This record gives sequence, structure tokens and C-alpha cells, in this order.
Amino acid sequence: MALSRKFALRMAGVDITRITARKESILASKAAKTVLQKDIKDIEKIPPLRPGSEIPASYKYIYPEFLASTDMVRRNTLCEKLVRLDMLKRRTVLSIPEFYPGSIMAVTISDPNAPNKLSRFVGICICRGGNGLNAFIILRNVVDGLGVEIMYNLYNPTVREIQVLRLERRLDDQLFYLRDCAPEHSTVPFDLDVTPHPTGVAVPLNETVLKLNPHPWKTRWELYHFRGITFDPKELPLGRAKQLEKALQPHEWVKFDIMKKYRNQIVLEDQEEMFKDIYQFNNARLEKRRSRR
Amino acid sequence: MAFALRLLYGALRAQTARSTTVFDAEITPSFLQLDRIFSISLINYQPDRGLRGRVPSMPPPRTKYKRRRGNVPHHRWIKPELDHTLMVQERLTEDNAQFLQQVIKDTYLSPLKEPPPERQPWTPWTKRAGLLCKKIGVVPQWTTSGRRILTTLCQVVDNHVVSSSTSEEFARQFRGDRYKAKEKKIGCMVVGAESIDPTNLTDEYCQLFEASGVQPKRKLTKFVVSDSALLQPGTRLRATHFRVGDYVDVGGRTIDYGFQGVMKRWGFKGGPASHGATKFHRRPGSIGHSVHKSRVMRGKKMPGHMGNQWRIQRGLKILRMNTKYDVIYLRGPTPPGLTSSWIYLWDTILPRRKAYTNPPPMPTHYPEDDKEPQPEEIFAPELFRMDQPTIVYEITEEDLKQQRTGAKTALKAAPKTAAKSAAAAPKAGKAGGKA
Repeated sequence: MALSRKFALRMAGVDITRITARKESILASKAAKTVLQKDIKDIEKIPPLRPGSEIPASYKYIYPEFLASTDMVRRNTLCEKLVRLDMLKRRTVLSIPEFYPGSIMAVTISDPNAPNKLSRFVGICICRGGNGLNAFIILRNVVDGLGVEIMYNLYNPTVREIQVLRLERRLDDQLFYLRDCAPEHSTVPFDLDVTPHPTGVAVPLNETVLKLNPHPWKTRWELYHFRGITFDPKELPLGRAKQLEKALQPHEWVKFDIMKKYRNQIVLEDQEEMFKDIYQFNNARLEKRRSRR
Repeated sequence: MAFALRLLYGALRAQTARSTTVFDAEITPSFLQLDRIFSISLINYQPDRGLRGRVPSMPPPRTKYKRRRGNVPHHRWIKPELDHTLMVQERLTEDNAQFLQQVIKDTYLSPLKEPPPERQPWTPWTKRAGLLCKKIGVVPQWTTSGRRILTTLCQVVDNHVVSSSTSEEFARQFRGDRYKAKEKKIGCMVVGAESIDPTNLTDEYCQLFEASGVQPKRKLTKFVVSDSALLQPGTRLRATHFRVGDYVDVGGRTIDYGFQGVMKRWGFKGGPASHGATKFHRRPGSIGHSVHKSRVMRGKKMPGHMGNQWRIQRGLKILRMNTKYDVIYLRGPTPPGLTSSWIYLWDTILPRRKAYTNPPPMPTHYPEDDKEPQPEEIFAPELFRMDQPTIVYEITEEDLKQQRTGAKTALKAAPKTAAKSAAAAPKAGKAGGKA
């Protein structure tokens, strides 16, 4: 059953991969709050990426796929440049809106096996990842009592439309724990209407904290420092409570490990170089619109 | 033993690089000592080949169980870079550094000293030159049918011909003429890639480039080339040496994994994780039999060094090309090595993928031959271009037929609701027909 579904999704141009959860939330952090609270369309008000640069700091949350991989061994500046040019070309044809994990989205793809050669899926975005042309999102919904998750490559040329039905953020960057919550938290009707996000309003942070189902769980969610879930530690299976105590104790050396921090991020000068193309692309579009008016 | 041998090799090579006379005063004592201790015969020694040279009458080594990879690393005869103590750049003033750069620019201006060779037609047996590329990444692309494929990007980093020798000259370079160069009319070309600052290079290395007038290169390689496809030294090879749609062979060194166990190196299963297994989780198990053969068979798969071997991928298609940055998109993620490792491209030798009917440019692509300048991006027809409209699949008549047969089977499966669905079925059919 599982294999055949996987195969069917592959045929439809959809890839399924295993993804590991990140420990700390980036989108719900204080740094993101200062940037995303303000009106994003009014670019002048947003602080720059680094002092003296034109590019707003919100770009690293809105366009994370333009950042290269942090793996220095596999990086090459020319390759990244060529990939970015491809991405911008695709963006002239398909508009990829601003969205965050936690927003409710609808993706329409052309599917050779569907009756009308079209398939539309609605769900909560539980993950956004990948760099460059590998960028993807995962949507989750519960259809007829069965949880369904589909991964879409954002730059796949069979993607016809990406719609954001409700724009919001959650307390975590990855919501894989919805698999072990009550189904109503991840159920979205397919005929849900679009609630347009008014201009000049900050992207709302949905601060709901969910209660996990009783054991067994798919993953040991307690070890990942998620802010959006609660559970009773007394109900954990034998021995896991002790491990949890260990995991929750912060290592003192971590805050002094500068190299670890350096390796897990991209230097701001490099980020500026990566966002330059998309910034110019956006500016050109804005000027076109203004000239039409 | 190996260390002492290496010392000996190094000493001899240093000596030959300096002068042709071998038995100098400095080197002789240690040389003789080593000879006495390890009893190395010096009969095989020849001044221009070192101790590696074989006597021609010796039979060739057995190839079946040939050693996969030598333990002694390959030493260059000429050391390219100066020692750090001799590097001048840090001690120069700014003006002097600028002056040096200007001198370098002036000396290495477009160096073609000889006229281009006469054009000769391509035959299926001609060997054209190859390209020296850097692997810069693996990137997904999509076909026009919507299928995702991975491509490898290789950058042709300013390749220049450093020297070329005809079949007669080439035959003279090897004792015994192992390529049968004169018979087959096969010469060779040395191609260099990635120009570097010559101020930090040794004199001997810079002298290699003097005859051709090319700026010294970081990487040098030799391509075996037919006489008809030889190029004059100093010509630049670009990505357009190949065409989009051609098939190429790709050679290179695989990723170096170091000393690895049997599970990673050969994919053995290892031992059980539990059930009383003690120190037997990643082991190979038995390697032989005590009774019948009572020895370990040759070629037995065992732990050892993994990777860093010369491997060739044959028949990869060129799907896309960027003529501005000289980048070639090869189909598949398979070319050997990590990102930024060197790989070699040449025309494929696979008989079914050779371009018999559509011969490639001989001896290389000259931009002045084109009627129109080549576009910046060249695509294979089956590859999706990112500025094309989104892929849409058309509804064919066969699809409509399949829908109707599906309705029929539904009728058979549910006889109770037959009346309702029978009424609905023809309508659906008509609607489908109109669409």
C-alpha cells in the first residue's frame, strides 16, 4: 500500500523524502519578530540585512531557498549563480507567494494520470526546505480519516499555481508533530476560501499549543525542544523521562562554540550576494507596476 | 623499506632535474649504502626514467589481479610552486606588485606563434582533443515531459594547448612505442587549465610554458590525439569544442574515503546487532577454508583503501551549455569526484553513441566559422527551459475511452445502483466527448 502510493506520487512528479526536525525555531525567534512585525511591502521601513546594504533583513525569511547550502565542501559560487538565474526565470512564469510553515496553502499541478490532467491539494505547510532548484514544501491534510502529506518541488515546471489561503506563522519551523496530534488540527476543507492578507499588517503568529496523543509516537518529539506542543513527562515510557532530563540540560560549552555557529550559517556578505538578483528582480517588477498606473 | 626507497627515488629525481650526470659526489655515498643494505640492482636505472623503467625484454605484469592502487604517491618531476620561504609577494611594495602584474599581462598576450593547421575531415577513427574541467555541482533539471533529472555541471577553466607532438615525435617519447603511434598516426597534446600567477612558481615549471607562450597553468594533462586533429600550441579550447546532444566519456578520480572496512567498501552484511554477538557487528566473517585450499584466495574482498581511483563514465549526454561561463551540463550525477575536483571529457568511444552522421567540429570549434554568434545558453530539445510556460498535459481521446470503460466496470460491480448510474453514464460520455 505504502509503496504503491509512493510510486503514484513519483509518477505525478512529487518526491517524498525523510526530513529531520531542526531544534530551534528561526521564524518564531526574536530576530524574525523584529523584521516580520512590520509591513513587508513598505521596504524602506524594514532594517537592512547588514548596515549599509539595500537588501531588507526580511529576505532571509521570505526567500530562504536563495541561500546556498551551509556545506562548504559542496559549494561553488558559479554554480549557485547559474542556479539563481534559472530560479528567477521560473519566477517570471510562476508567482511564488510569501508563505511560512504553518500557513494553509493550495498547490495545483498538471498530472498525466489524473482525469482532467490536473490535481489540486490543500493543506497546512508543515515544512519548507532545500536550496536552489531543490526547494520544496510539504503539505499535510487529513482526507477521509487518513493523513496525507505531499511534497512539492517549488521550481518543478508542472506546478501550475501556488496559492496561500491563510498566511500565518507557527511557534515552530517544522510541524511534523501534527502526525501525533488529533486529526482536527491538520484537517483543512478542500473548498476553503482565500482570506486575503491585508497590506500593512504584520504576518500573524499563531500561538496555539497542541496536546500530543498518548503513546506510542512516530518520533521522540520530547527531545526536540518544540514550543508548539505539550505533554505530561510522567506519561512517558520507562527510562525516557531520565533521558529527557539529560536532553533538556543545556550544554555550557555550546554558547562559546563560535565555530559551530559559523559553520551553521552563511556569512552576511555572502547572503547579500545571494539576494542581490532577487532584490533587483522585485524592484524591476515594482517599477513596472508603478509605470502602468 | 618503503620509506628508504622513497628517499632514494627522491634523491635521484632531484639529481636528474638538476643535471644529466647521475653519480655526483653528494649523492653517491647514501646511494651505495642503500644498495648494500637492501641489495637493489642498479641495472634498470636510466637517467631520464629513474628506477621505474622496466627492461624491454621483461614480460608484462599479470593483469588479472593487478594492484588496484599504488601505495607510493606519484611525484612530479618538476615542482611547480616555490617554497614558502622563497615567495616574493609578501615582501613587495604595492607599486612593485602592480608592475609585476602588468609585466605578466604583457608577456602572456594572445600567444599564437604558429599558423593554424590545415583542416582535415573527421572519420570515425579520429581522436579529437579532450577538455580539462572542474566539477562544480549537481543540479536538478526537468524534461519537457515533466520528468526530473539530475545534471552535473562542469566548468572548462581556460584550457590552452601547451604543446603538441606528431605521431613520429610521440613514438620517440616511449621506448617500444606502446601506442603503435606511427602505425595509427596518433600524436599527443599537452593541455593546461586554470592560469596562475607565475611569480610564485619555480623556474623549471615556468620553462615548460615558454615555447608556447601560454601563461603557466595549475593543471596539466596529456591527451592522445590523431595527427589530423592536432592543434598548434597556444590555442584556447572552449566548451563549444563539444556540442549539445553529443555523448562524451568522463574520467576522473573517485572520492577518497581512506581505509575502510568491509561493509562500506564492498557492501558486506556484517554481523547481527544483538543475540549475543560479541565484537562481530561489522566484520567480514570467514575468509577461507582450512581443508581444501588451505589458503586465502586471490582477490578476496577485504578491508583496505577505498576510493581515489581512476574511473571512467562512458556515454554521458550533454544536455545544456553556457557559452559565457564555459559550463557544460552533463546528464546524471555520476561523474567521479567531489565538487571542485578535476574531470576529463573526450568524445565517447561507444560505437552506438558516436556522431557518425553529424561529425563534430575538427580539430576544434572556431568561432569565426559560425554564421551567427552562438547564443549564451544552448539547450537540448528535450530539456525544459525555465522561461518556457508551465507544462500542461493534453486530454487525448484514449483518456476519454478509458474513463468510459471505468464507468462500465462500475456498472457491473454495483448492480443495485445500476439504474441511477446507467442514467448518469451516457451523460458523462457525451460531456467527455465534447471536452
